[in-house]
Amino acid sequence: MENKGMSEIVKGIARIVFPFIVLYSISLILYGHITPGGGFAGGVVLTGGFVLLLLAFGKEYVFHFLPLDIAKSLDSTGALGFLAIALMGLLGGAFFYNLLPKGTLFNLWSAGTIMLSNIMIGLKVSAGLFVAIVILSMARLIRTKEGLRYKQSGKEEDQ
Amino acid sequence: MMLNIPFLVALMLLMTAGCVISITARSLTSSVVSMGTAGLILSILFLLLGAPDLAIVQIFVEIVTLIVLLSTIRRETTADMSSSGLYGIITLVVFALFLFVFVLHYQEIVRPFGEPVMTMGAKYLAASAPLLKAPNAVTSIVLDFRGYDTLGEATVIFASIAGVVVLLRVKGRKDGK
Amino acid sequence: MIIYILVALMFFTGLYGIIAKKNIIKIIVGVNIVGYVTSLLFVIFGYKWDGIAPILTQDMNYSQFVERAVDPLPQALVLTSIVIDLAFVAFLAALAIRIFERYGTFDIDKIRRLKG
Repeated sequence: MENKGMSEIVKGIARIVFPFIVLYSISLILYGHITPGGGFAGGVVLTGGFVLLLLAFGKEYVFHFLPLDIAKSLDSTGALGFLAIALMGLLGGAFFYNLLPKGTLFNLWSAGTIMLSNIMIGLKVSAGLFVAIVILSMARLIRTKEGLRYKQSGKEEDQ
Repeated sequence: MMLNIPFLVALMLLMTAGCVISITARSLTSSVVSMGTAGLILSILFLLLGAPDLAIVQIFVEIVTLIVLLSTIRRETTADMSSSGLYGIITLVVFALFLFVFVLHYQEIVRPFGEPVMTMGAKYLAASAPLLKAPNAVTSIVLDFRGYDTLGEATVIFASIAGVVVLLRVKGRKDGK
Repeated sequence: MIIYILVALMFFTGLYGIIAKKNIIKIIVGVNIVGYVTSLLFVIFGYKWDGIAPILTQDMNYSQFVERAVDPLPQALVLTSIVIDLAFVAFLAALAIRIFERYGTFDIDKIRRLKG
């Protein structure tokens, strides 16, 4: 993963395709209880979209779009939100009890807490895997006196 | 897609060829790329076996795994040098023994293909649409009937990513050690 | 039966990569292949003849759906397992990067001998 990004053709196509990827992942997450998909599928599709931006434009542009601290906070928010939904079920009688009203079949707003859980899981998976991949891509191969070595690129001394 | 047994066997043969090539190839890049081929064929197999959620997840996980592995072997694509020695021979002998015993006692070890047990699966299918109003039975199992396992999975992913962040930390030391 | 023999063949290929190969990248590829084969075996156990996906659509008769659908429980177990395998491979790749930085090679024989 080069730091400078790729050629102009790749950049132009990535600019066009990325909104469709985000739209597809939001559709998978929100309609997760009606069609195939769910939180995990939407999360990894969004991670794929961010990896496309990282490969096409380089690290600086992606940090301008979604800084690393905000990505880490979104990851924790997703995990804590999922736990909060589970604890909210305690009000109804058991841990993880599905408390909210379930509407009619095949509606978007139905099935209780499943849609909220899908959103939390989608946030968590996409932000978490994005953090891992960006940090893996910052390991640079430089030439020292002993030969080829991997070094962390020096932008962040404290992550 | 309707399942056709020769088609399934042909796809599994392709996947086996991909796995074997990825372990015995000399160059690291070709072994990682043929592992990617095995993963994509696995996604088609999931679609044939009636699991569309898994097919979507498997394709994108496969692409991201390829990118992660190809970025760690960026310039170190040398040949994989040595032979495997004693451990390889022991593994092959154990595998031959296992295959022999399996083919002899085939009926007692596995159920025939296409007749699942479905003790809990039938109950989940029967309760998902009337009770929860969710047509997708897999999502309702993952997030409502077995939601505790999803909480454990979120914890495991969180710990793994925290491990990646801690391992690749620079700690402010000077370069050129 | 040939299906189970092919699954066993793939599993032992991955296991051979973990046990007998000397390059760390080959070991990681072996771990990944074992993960794939486990997911495939679960879904094969849950398949029903002429089965349909366990997702109800609007033009389907409900009792016919319960009779014909494949087992949804192995699919739910495998769904989280696939994403966990991705996080696991990211962690192993970070370990491999650190090992290469310290020892300069991916060969596990040489890693044992060079005390850095």
